[in-house]
Amino acid sequence: MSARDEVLGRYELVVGVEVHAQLNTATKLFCGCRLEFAAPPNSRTCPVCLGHPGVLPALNRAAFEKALRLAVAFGCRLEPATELDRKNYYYPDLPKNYQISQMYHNLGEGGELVLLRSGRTVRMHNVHLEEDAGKLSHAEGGRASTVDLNRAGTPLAEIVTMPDFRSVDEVDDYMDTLTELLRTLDVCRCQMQEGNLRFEASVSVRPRGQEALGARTEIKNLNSYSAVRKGITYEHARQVALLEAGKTPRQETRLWDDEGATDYEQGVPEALRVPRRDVWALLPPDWGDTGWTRFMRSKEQAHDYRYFPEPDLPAFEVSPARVDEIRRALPELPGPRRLRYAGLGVPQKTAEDLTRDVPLATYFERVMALGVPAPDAANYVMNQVGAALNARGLSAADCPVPAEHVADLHAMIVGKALPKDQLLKEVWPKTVEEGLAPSAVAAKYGLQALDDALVVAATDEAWAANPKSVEDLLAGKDKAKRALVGAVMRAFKASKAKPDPAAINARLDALLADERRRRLL
Amino acid sequence: MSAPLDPRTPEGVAHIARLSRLALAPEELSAMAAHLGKILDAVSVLERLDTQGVPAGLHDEALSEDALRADAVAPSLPVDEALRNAPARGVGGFEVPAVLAE
Repeated sequence: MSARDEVLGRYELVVGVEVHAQLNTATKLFCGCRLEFAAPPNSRTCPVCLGHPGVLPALNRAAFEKALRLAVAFGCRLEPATELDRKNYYYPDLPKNYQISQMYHNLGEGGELVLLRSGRTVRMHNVHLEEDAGKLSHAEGGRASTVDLNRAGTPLAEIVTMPDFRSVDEVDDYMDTLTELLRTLDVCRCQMQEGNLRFEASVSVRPRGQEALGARTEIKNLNSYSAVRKGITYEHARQVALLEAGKTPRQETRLWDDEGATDYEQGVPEALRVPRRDVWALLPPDWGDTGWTRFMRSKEQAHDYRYFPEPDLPAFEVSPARVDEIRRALPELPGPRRLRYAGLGVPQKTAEDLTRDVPLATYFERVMALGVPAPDAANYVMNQVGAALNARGLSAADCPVPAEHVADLHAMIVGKALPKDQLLKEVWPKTVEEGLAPSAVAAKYGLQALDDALVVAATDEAWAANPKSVEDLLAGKDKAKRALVGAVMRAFKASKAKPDPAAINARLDALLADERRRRLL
Repeated sequence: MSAPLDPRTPEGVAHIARLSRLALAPEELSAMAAHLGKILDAVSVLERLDTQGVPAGLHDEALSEDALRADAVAPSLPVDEALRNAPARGVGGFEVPAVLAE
């Protein structure tokens, strides 16, 4: 065990995760402005999301129902009514000077999520609804910042876990599991590069065996999956280095800084910092020079948000009947779906890949519904259909090939209408390009299977005409077999019908066995 | 978070003034503490009401579907109109003094 592992091993990492998931509605949370990534700045605003005086918010039904669906999927406790609250603070990206969020009556409390890789259960703290702020941009060295309010009022579900993670891998498992769940429930597009999914981690460490949690750091600005992993890895090392130096971490908020844009531990008092090399000694060997969390504010500097119930919106009823209705309408969740696919004989890895891509899984279900056995259907969908989609950069939701064509392909393979190789390499690409069923492609190009007797005769001919290859084959040189197959294929060069290499191989094996037996006699 | 400061005291008023971005002179703090105290006393009459057993208020309209808005796109303002009252304009946006933190 390395010195690093030995030191880190004396402490336990404790992590909780907060996710802001942008709900995939057409419009904002409280007004009808269209949600659109990368629209021209301030072109998607109105008096409501600009915070003009005298306007009233009206809650988006779709956003409310998507957030409810999520809370139900987690198995949260739901109060009979949910209320929204005002969180007051001044910031240029917040036009009303308050954010409408939830504090006193969250949409859902508690609940849990079973991680897909490890099977561990993570407890949820709460799920609530809130609006996003606008976007501030600042030109390097400039004296002014610019505010774009297109994002102001975007519906977000904030998903908060309990401090249940003990390693970066578990957080990774959670991110994947949550992403799949959000996609399956059709509540979030999960495009991290568009900011649809934003993570914050609260990280603490404690000596192994100690019950009490250490002071936690909240890490913000984790804007990619890799930033989440690195931010937690760094905080783990920094806090352990502090404890090893006899210092105690304090509760504070930090920003993940991928590039190390500011000096190491700028603004942090001596009593709360250790030399950089002490932290680096606990980081993975390939960490590099930059990439750290930088101090933003301490607990003492925490904001006083003066939450109070939002007077412009009523409480919204969440009746048990409505919750039941939502629960019954939930789609099959990723965990059970993977198990079902595996039970149908789909290989584990393929079952995972299919479940991760909801439109592809839906397509797969359609192919199965047409009578194609699950393992075959999965195979065509992952390979033939997958290649066609990848080449065109399409989602399975926009697949140009109907599921019926896949079923037709399968029927032709099983019925040996044409050699399998020819069906996959010649007929299928034309099926995709021309939008015709495989059987229609075969008819259009006059493709038909060769009579087995013709293949046998041509193989026998090639056998007789190539004594050198036959001797090589008898001597165990497998390459000679390919030469013989090639000779048979060439014999049909002018013919539209192509022999099935599998049939040639079978005949060659028979000839070879006969020849061996003859020579032994 | 520590216990909230009493808004009836100059210290409490100073705290609220800071959160509200109001600049109050020291003599204004005491005067404001007295004013706020009177307002709070008037409102605190409500606290003497016995609300035991009264269910939490659910606005009647919340029970009807009308309280929720359909997820239908409504026209947004033209950019020029949206920015009309901006104290300063940058490229396509409201311009504000440089914000570097957070």
